[in-house]
Amino acid sequence: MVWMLTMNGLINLSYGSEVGFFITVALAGFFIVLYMIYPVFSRPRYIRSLNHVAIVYALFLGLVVVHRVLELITYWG
Amino acid sequence: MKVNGLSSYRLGFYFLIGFAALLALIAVLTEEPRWYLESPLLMLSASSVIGGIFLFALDENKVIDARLASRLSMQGIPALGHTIRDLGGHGTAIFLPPATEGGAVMQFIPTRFAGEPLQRDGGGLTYHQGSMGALSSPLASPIIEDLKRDNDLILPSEYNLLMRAICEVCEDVLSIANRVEIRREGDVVTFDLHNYLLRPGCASLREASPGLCVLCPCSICSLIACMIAEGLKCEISLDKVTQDDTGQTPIMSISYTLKRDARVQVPD
Repeated sequence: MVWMLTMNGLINLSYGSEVGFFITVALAGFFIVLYMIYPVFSRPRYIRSLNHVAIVYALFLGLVVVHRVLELITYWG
Repeated sequence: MKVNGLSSYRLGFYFLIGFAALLALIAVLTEEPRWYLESPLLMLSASSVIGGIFLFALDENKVIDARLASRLSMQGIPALGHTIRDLGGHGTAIFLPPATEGGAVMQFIPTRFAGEPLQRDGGGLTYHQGSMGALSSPLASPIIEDLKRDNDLILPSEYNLLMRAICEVCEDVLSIANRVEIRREGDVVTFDLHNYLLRPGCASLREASPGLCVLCPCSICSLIACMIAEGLKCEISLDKVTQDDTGQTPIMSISYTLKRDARVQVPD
């Protein structure tokens, strides 16, 4: 949350606010946090739920990226 | 931690999702439709949704009352301890590393009387280091098996990595302590379990019969000992269990002594 609030503030300060970009940055933070808390020697129950959430977030991130790429193609085309 | 039947993770999830809905509503009411996607309120709303789902995933269902869990974990231990003591059990239980690759940790309890030799299942009476004693599976055997099967538990043979694995099991997998600190002085390793979940049952057992703890260690003390014995392939015994309620969080300290590697000698 601290990461997302910080990014939200920075994006607004830079007058570049756009939800797609913000979600990309926020989800990148989520994956970093997930990597940092991931246990090495065992797999607790909550990690399975987090894995499912990570898959959904990765798909969502993919959608945002694809949408942006399509926008760029349309712009340059 | 539970508040009125809801875990703090679940409460956090409800709060963040509610907050996200409120922010989205304010954004819809105050912003023009063409600026929706650039609205800071909508970004905060997205933050809340992402954070809320994260908390929801961390929440584990089927939380049972800590007092009940502590009582359940101690069920049968006083009776078993007294039976062992009546049969001549004395001193401290010694956890023996697996005798073969893929074998299980065994628990040796010294006894005063000689009796039937080793049974087919690996249990019974036997000699170890020149003294007669009862050899049995430790109380934590089923838990270790479950952890290996369901939680892919790995027990490293390097001391520091093994200690990290024990912390993971206590803090993340079983969630029996908020934080685990490990101290080592020579052969004595002490585990400080902060806010130990099963503290009430453990305290009542030690109050009723202090000697039973080291003679017939309960599931959690036994679990940590088994993990060390299996990981480091060395003998280990439980020295003492102490409780410190003076600090900000109550601490349960469990001390073990690492012993030299030796195998059980089966009597003639």
